[in-house]
Amino acid sequence: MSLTSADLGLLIQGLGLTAWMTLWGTLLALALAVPLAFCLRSDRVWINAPARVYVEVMRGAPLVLLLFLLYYGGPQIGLRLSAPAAGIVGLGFFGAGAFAEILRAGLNAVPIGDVEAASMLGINRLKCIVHIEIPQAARTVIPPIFGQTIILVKESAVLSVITIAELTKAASELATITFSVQPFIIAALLYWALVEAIAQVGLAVERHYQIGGH
Amino acid sequence: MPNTEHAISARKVTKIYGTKTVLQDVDLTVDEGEVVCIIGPSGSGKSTLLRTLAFLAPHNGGEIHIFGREIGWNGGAEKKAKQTEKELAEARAPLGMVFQHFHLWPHMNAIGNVALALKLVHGKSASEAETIAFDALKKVGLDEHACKHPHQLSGGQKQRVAIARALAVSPRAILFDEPTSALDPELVGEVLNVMRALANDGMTMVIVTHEMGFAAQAANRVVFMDHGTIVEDGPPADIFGNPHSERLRQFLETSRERAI
Repeated sequence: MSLTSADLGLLIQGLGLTAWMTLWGTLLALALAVPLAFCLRSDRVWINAPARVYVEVMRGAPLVLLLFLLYYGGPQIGLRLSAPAAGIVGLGFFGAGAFAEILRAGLNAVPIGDVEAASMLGINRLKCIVHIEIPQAARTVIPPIFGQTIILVKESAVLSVITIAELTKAASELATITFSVQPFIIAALLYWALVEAIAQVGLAVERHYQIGGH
Repeated sequence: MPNTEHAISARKVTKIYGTKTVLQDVDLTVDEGEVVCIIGPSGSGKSTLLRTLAFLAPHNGGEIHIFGREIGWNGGAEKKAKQTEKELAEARAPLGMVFQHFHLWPHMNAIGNVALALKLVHGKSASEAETIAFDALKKVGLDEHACKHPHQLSGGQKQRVAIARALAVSPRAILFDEPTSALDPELVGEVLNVMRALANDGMTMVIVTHEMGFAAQAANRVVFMDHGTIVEDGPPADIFGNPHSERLRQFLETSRERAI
């Protein structure tokens, strides 16, 4: 049997939720990743070690475990999050680990001499970070940041385990009702469309900030 | 003892990387208005010495004064009392630095590179900073390229922008770390000409270089280093015409052979 327009509407809603959760999850992840990356680069052990532990834990654990802990385990320590909030926080904490490593690599790629030149001119650490290191690192990290965002879009499928009706959840529910694989095929196409859109934005941003040979 | 007579004074400066001693008890003074070229084979410590003078490479022993003010440590390296970021910035303020690989900031155009510190450090407005930056670029003959980004400039032009960037904040002395070593041979001349003009203007300069011809013409003093120590220090006529040590004689011979 074929899907009704109401069924399609459900899938589109699911896509919307997937995009929405990933958007906020990514923004939260980036916001956490910037200070994390600077902590990772610190030469003081008491600053870099906790950041390193955080990154390793987030890279080592599956997202679904993190979501279980946040959503089902959270209330036991008095942390009650709605499902969407837990989803965004989960994606954000999870993505922050990966983004932090990308940003760290981007900052490391800024030639040390560029920083020394600033320091010789009396430009202090903070101003150097803002005016010289971040603008240069930003260019380096644009492609991997968008790549990681695409990974987060696909990872967000597991938000279904904490009852969020994102695209995968919507598709599997429809499939149960209609005894058809059609919803999965449409969901796959919708994921592809979203991912492709993000990739195109990424390319446009990359082109916008390109400077000649760099 | 801080010596206010000298622009730069390094006393018993030692630099150790891991277990390797790169500088051993180096004494060097540079007076205001002097042009001092440091020559020597690769690995002799000349670039390291230049970098310790600006505290880009912290020395492990001895002390360095810039126009009478200690740089990097308070009371010599042995006391291990590192200066705060602010103290270090104040001690460094009279110094400009020009690097082998230019280190222009690639995301800003030439005038942006030259104007940045004027805006961020010297409190100039954007338009004041650009006026000063434009004058500095004019001085190195690049006013017509002010709006180009580093990747649009040749190596020689990049190095001249880097010199303009150092000049714009009115340093009392400029350190040059092999300023022409990364350049194509035909671009070396334009950079050396700018440096010669600076020297004629009375700028205090310390230059690590392999350009023996330039050192012979433009320097008031030439310092020959080998194995982390200063082997000879004297007027260029003596260093090049009447070398005392066997090591310097050998070095000059090899560089002459290479020049042919």
